[in-house]
Amino acid sequence: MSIPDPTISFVTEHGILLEFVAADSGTVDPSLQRRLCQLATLLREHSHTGPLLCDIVTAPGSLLLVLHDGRTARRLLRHAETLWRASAQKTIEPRIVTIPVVYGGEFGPDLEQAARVCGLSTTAFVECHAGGNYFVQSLGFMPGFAYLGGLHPQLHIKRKNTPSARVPAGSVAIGGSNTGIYPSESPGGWHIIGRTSVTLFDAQAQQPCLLKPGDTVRFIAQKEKQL
Amino acid sequence: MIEVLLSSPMLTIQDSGRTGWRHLGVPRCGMMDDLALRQGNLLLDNDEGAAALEITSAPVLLRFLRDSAIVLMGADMQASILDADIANTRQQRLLTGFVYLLRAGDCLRLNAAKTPGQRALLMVRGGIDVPLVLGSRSTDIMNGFGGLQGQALRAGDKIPVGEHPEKPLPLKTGVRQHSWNHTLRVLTGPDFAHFGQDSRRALFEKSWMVTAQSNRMGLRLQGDSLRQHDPTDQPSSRQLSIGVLPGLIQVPPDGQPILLAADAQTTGGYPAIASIISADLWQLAYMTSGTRVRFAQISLAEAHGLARHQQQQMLRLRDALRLRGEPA
Repeated sequence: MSIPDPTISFVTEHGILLEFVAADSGTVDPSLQRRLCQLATLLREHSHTGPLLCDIVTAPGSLLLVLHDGRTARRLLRHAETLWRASAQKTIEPRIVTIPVVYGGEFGPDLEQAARVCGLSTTAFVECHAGGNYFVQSLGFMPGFAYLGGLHPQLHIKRKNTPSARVPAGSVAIGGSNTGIYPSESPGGWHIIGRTSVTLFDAQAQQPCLLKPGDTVRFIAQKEKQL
Repeated sequence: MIEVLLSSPMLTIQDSGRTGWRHLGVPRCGMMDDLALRQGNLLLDNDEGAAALEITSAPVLLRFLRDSAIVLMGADMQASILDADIANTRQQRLLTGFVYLLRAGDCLRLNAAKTPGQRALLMVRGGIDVPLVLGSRSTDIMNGFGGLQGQALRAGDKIPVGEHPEKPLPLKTGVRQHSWNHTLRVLTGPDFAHFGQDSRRALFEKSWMVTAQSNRMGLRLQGDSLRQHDPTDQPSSRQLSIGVLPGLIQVPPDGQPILLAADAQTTGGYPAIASIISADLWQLAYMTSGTRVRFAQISLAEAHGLARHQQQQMLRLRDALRLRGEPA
């Protein structure tokens, strides 16, 4: 697959946006997204670029580079280009994170409705969701909330028209072409199909976040219907 | 230690913010007027980004449990120092940008802001010493961490203050609080060209009113409706979320812009029409419901120059204060 050169623009005077897919495109190739996650890691860890960067935010099909000083943009981009080309040859094996889920019942109140919309039995729906290989495209919305790509097209469901006021922490949900897990209780517009007892974000921990951009995620359906 | 005797909504602990964690969805937070935070801290011989209190509304009453030195910045909230039994006023109408000394037991009262919603800052010598969470002491209200138990301060809370070396402070020298004019200099954003000519013109020619639906996450503005070219014409809308930052001006489908502020989420899907330059970002601290905002376009080179100029001014202030601090 050939990857086009990114469109480069300043979103703020210290923030450079690299867009690898057209803004009006709704989908991102998973292999492109994996390379973007890899580039973000390389830039963060590289001795020439790390010190110039305040933050790097991975989003579907784009990277936001936040510089300490926007005037170093040219230098940073030169290095980014070199790292990008070099990364074509080597692929970092993604880390695999397994997440046990109790599907349906009180933990997945929207499962039956979601299965109906997709024209599947709840069993087939759960098998399909738990059978997928997902990857962390980006984190956003709230700390530790991962947008997981790789959802089977049959399970794509439009977000709720009216968001639920209270989605419990650990809820596994589907919104559009993504699936994800709510790290803490919040309002939310995704369809809740199950829940996990795994901690996804803990601000006090050395590694605050379980999932990082580029990780591979697998869901395991728990037999017993309790967390 | 400082004891909160009387609190008001959104009294929070903030420092210069949390950076390096946006890729995990962690917002910056931090003092809305970061410039005033740094000025006040320098005057107190603190680290520039040391944690302090952001005061959004009054009245507030605080008791200082040991001898303290403070600086107030931001909006004037008619502050006065009272003695321990709150009966006698020791000092009235404190000025912003000057050091005041308090004796153990003294109380500080902030009475009222001339314009409700404009923020004041209280820096204390030694800095507020709550634990660092992800490298910062700032309270992340939305996500419930940082500050004191991740929450706004309430009556009865005791706020720890850091240790500091015994060194005389400049009592006759002040720093000037930058005055706000509600005109924000901006750069056009990646989606600017997707907006119709009338909308692009309106952004700079019209004024925009800050609505009551504004907070530390974002300021919602009301004015002309900003429309993209021809709604049927592709590419006209952003389908994928991008990384976003404080200062970015997003336009949701209703055409009414949102200015992202300190607590903004890390990703967003609305078109980004423009961004406020970092040298003007502090002004958001003083924009409240009803404020009329104007935008003025400048170039990227100018924005970089202004950011650098502001940084140099801060260095000059630090050097000037350091010289003054030395014994004659």
